[in-house]
Amino acid sequence: MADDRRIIFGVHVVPFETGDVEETIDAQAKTTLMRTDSAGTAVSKTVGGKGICTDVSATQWSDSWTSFSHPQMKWEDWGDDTDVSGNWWEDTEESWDISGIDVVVHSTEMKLSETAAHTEYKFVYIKNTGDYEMRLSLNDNTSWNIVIDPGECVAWKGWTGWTYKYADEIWVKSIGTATTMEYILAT
Amino acid sequence: MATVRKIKWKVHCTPQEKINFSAGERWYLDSDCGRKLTGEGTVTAYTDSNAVIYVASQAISGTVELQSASGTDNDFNFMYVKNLGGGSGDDVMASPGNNQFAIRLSVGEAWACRLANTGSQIDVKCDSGDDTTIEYLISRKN
Repeated sequence: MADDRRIIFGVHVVPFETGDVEETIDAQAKTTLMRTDSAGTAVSKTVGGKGICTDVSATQWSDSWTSFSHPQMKWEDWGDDTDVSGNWWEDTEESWDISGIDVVVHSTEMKLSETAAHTEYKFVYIKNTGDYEMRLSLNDNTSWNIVIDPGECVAWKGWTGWTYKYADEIWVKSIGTATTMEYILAT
Repeated sequence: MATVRKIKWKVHCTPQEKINFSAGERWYLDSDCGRKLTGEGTVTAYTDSNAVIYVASQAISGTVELQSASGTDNDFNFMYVKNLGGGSGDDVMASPGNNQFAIRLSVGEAWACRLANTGSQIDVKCDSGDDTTIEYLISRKN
C-alpha cells in the first residue's frame, strides 16, 4: 500500500507549417516551425507546461481508480468484482503486446467509471487506445466538446469550484463505432 | 501553394507512489499503473486569416473568451492554454466550451486538447479576486 501518491504531468505543443519549396525538382513540401499565426503574430517556437498533482490520496476510492493492470500488480488490487466494469478476468480485455486493460467505450454515453464514487476528483487522465474517435463530457453528460482521437490523451487537475466536480460526473462515448480507452480517475 | 498550419501536441503523465521506510522515503512508479503514460495528436488549421491565434502573454482576471479576436465562435478544433503566473500567479480554470470550467492550471501548467467544432466559446477564468497571466494557442478546423 502506498504511503502517498502524486502525478507528474506535462504538455508539449509544436506548431508547424508546411508549404511547397519553390524551384525544386521533386516538389517536396517544406516543414518548419510555424513562423506566425494567421494574423501575423510571431510564433517560431514550441510551447508547453508541466506540473505535479500532489492532491491525490494514497488510498483511492476503489481499485477501479485506474484501468491498468499488469503482471507486477499487487494481488490485493484485483478486488473489483463489479460486473462489466470490474477488473476480474471475465470483465476485462487484455492487449497481447502491452501491459494494460482497455475499457470499451460505446456510442451510448457512459460514465468514465460506472463505479466511480460521488467524490471530488483531483486528477484525470484518459487515452483513446482504440481505432475510433471518442468524446468527453465534463458537465455530467451535457456538452461533448472535447475530442480524443485514437492515440491522443488528455490530463488535467480538477477544480473544487466546478459544479460537476465529482468523479461520477465525467462521461465518455465513442462516435459511431466502439473504441477503447485507458484512464486514471484519482480522488 | 499556400502555407498549411498544423499543430502537433503530446501529453505525458507519470503516476508515482511513495513508500516510507524506517530510514526515509522513496518515490516509485505507481504500482497500480505500472508504466508512464503518453498520447499525441495533430490537427490541421483552416487557412483563412483567423484560423490560428497565438497570444504569448495575456493578463486575466475574471472570465476571458479566448477566441474573441477571431470574431467567431465557430469550428475551433484545438486549444492550448498555459498559466504563466504573472500578477498574483493564481490558478486559472480553462473551459473547452459551454462553460465547462473543470480544468485547473497552477503556474507553469498547461492544457491541450482537440475540440469538436461545436461553435461554443473557449474561455478561461480566475476565481474571484485572483489574477494571473496566460499563454494560449487556438486553431480552427481545416
